[in-house]
This record gives sequence, structure tokens and C-alpha cells, in this order.
Amino acid sequence: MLKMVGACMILLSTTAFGFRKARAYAERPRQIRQMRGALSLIRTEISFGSRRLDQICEQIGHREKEPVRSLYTRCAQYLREMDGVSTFECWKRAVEETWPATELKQPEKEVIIDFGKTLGISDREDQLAHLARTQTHLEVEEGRAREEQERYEKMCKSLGILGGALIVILIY
Amino acid sequence: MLAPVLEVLPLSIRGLVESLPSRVYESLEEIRVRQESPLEVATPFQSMFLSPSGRMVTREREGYRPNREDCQKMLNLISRHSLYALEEELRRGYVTIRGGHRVGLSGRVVVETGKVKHIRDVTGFNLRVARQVKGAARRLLPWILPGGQLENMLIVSPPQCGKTTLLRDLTRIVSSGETIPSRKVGVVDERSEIAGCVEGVPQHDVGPRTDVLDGCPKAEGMMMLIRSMSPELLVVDEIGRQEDGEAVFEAVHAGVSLFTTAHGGSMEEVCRRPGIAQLVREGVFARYILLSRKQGPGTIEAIYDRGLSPVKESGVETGC
Repeated sequence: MLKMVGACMILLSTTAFGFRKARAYAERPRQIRQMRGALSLIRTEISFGSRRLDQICEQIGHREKEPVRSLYTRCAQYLREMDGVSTFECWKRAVEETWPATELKQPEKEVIIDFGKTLGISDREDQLAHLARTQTHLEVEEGRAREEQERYEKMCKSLGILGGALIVILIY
Repeated sequence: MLAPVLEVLPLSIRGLVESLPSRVYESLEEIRVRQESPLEVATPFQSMFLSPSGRMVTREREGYRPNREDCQKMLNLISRHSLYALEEELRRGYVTIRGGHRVGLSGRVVVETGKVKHIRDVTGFNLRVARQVKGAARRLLPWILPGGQLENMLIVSPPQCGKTTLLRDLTRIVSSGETIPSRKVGVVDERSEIAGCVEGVPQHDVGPRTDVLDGCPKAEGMMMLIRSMSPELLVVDEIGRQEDGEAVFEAVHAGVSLFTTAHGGSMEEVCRRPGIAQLVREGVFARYILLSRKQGPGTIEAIYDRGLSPVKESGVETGC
């Protein structure tokens, strides 16, 4: 009886592990897309040029879902409260702090942090050019993330279950 | 009162300015920040450099030299991280901040098809502290508004002698009806100096019945106000160009009174400028006020009437 319960627990945990991995693969392209959505909002606001960066960030924070929400809310807060610190430092800090809560990986992180280097410190045309460039980079990453999703999502799920089953058979 | 000015200074410079003796701090007129050049502060009486320990020094090599980072942080603070929203301001070369103070900018200018597009690599800042002196014009009222009647008036003065301060106070007095009947006032504030608007809201007290067209070209603005806001008094800063003169004619013939200013050290100098000479010849202005700095900014040098004969000639202090 006890053996049976143990086997079930092993099977359950490996399955859960597999599903979590699979979810990460599914979430990544979705979150990249969300980031891109936020960037196009910034783009619209900047091309009108009437709102300040902290106001834009706050508005995006209100409109978007997690984890983009907390990134922008935090950034808006830093822009407002941190006295005399450069825009890039505020942005980088917000990114570093919210990153663990996302399923995003290193390439996107680099693109997004890099984007912060030019944010808010040049004229409108320059801003729009940088935004377009960041969008393209993210698009490429999104494509890659989708490929990975197709390839590994199902595999992770079945590997979880099958791996559990293997362990159970071996030790039973 | 200096809080909005301190807000745009990077921490390193802010500390130095805050540690100034209160006598200097209270009368600060300008703070000049230049990359790799000593930090300079100016009061109406003197200008000196600030050393890294916050002492006032006259020798330039002892002064604190703001570096590139200081300048960038300052620009960040002025633009509130949104330089793209300041395009118009960068084209004109100055930004008005909260409290009506203004920051003049210099650096590398980007030119497109022969016109200034904006300033890149901003390396020089001139923080001009705006001081509203309420009551600065009160002592002048008997001379320029005899019996509470509005007359067209021209204030002539060299730069930094308090002409905008005087004009602002006159605007406030006429609009709020201090000792005279109050009237509707329209202000065309091309350089955001009279009302010091931030996002369209006047930062100085220009009276309750005042409409301000902020950042609007003078000639066009005067006509716009006459058509849309039916002012009884128009207030315009620094006329001088030909089209300004024409707009002034239009305005006074539309039955609106006008207070305005012009740069110049004396009446002869002003009369030599083509845009203004014609106005003087036609007798458009009933009063001319000549300012100087002899006894501090805002010293009244003389007041003339329509025929340029002096109504009053003495060094009256207005305390601008």
C-alpha cells in the first residue's frame, strides 16, 4: 500500500515538473509579445510627444497585465522618486528587479536593457528609430521562442509523465 | 521659493548651492553650470565661483567643475526623463520650469534646412531665478494710469533691469483691480517670461482676469486675443520687429490698450529701431518708462509723455 502511495507521488511530481517546464516554453513568446505591445504604446505616446516618460510608464502599468505591469509601475516610481539618477539606471533597476518573475531569457533581457540606454534622452525621431529597432529585435526573439515552444512544449509534458513512469517501474 | 530651482540641479551641485550663506542664497539671480568650467552663481551685485567645498571664490581654478555626468543628470532632471517632449523648447533654447524660473541651454546645435532644429549635447545651463515682486509697479500708478484710465505704454530698458517684473506687476494690478477698476487682460507671452507658464498654467500671479497665450508669436497672438478673448488691455513683451509694429497699430485701432516693452538704453536708441520709431512718431504710446540699474534693478530713470517730454525725471526705486 505504502509503495503504491510513493509511486503515485513520484509520478505526480515528475508530471508537475514536466508541465511547469512546458508552461515556461508557452509563456515566453506570450510575454515577449506583451513587451512588444507595451513598446508600441510608448511609441504612440512619444510620437505625440505630449506626455512625460513617467506618465507613460504609469499608464502602461495600469493597462497591461503582469509581469509587464510591475516592470512599468516600478520604472515610473523610480523615475519619479530617485533624485538625479539617469533614466537608464531607473529602467535597468526596474528590469533587474522584475525579471525573476518572468519567463523571459537572456537575449530578450539584453535587448530590453539596451533599449533603456536611449530611452528619453534624445529627440522624437531618434526615440522612434530606437523603438523600431528594439521591436525588430524582440520580433526575432519571439520567432525563436515560438519555434522552441513548438519543439519542446509537448515533449516536456510527455517526458515528465514518462520519466515518472520509468522511475516507478525501476524501483517497484 | 527656490525649491523648483534646486529640483533641477544634480545632487552634487544642489549641495553646494544650498550651503551658500543665506544673504547670497536669498538674492540669487543666476546659477550657471558649464561642463568642465567652474560653477558660477550671480546675485544682482556680484558673481563668483563656487569651490568644491561650497566656498565662494573669485579665482576660477578653485571652482567646482561640473563633469559630463552632472550635465546629463541635469538635463534629465529638467526634461524629467523626456527629452522628446521638449522639442519646441530645445529649438528656442530655453525651458521654463515650475515656479516660472527658466533654464537657458547651450551646446551643439543641430540645423536642418537652415533652421535650428534642436540642441544636442547640452553642456551649458543658465538657471535664471524668476522673482515676482508684487507691488513693484504700485508707486508708478499715478504717473502711468492717471485717474485709473488705461493708456498705451512702452517700457524701455537694457536687459536685466526689471522690465518684465514691472510689466508682470502692472498686469496683475490691472487684472485684479488694485486701487483701479479691474479689467480683462490678455497676455501674449512669446518667451514664457511674463506669466511663466508650465503646461499652460501661469506660475506667477498675473491676476484673476488674465488670459495667457503661452509661447505664441507676438504679432499673431495679439490678433488672436483681440478676436477671441475680447481683452481691454493687451500685454506683450519685447516688441521690435516690423510685423510687431503693424500688429500694435491694429490693436490700438481696435480700441484695446497696450502695455509693452522694448530693449534699449535710452529713448534715442529705441527711436532708432525701425519697428518702434514709427510707433513713436505716430504717437501711439501715451507713456514711456525708462529703466536702469543705477540703484539696483528697477530704477526708474524717467517717464515721458506722448511728445517725449519728461513727466518725471528722477531715480525712483521701485524695488524690483
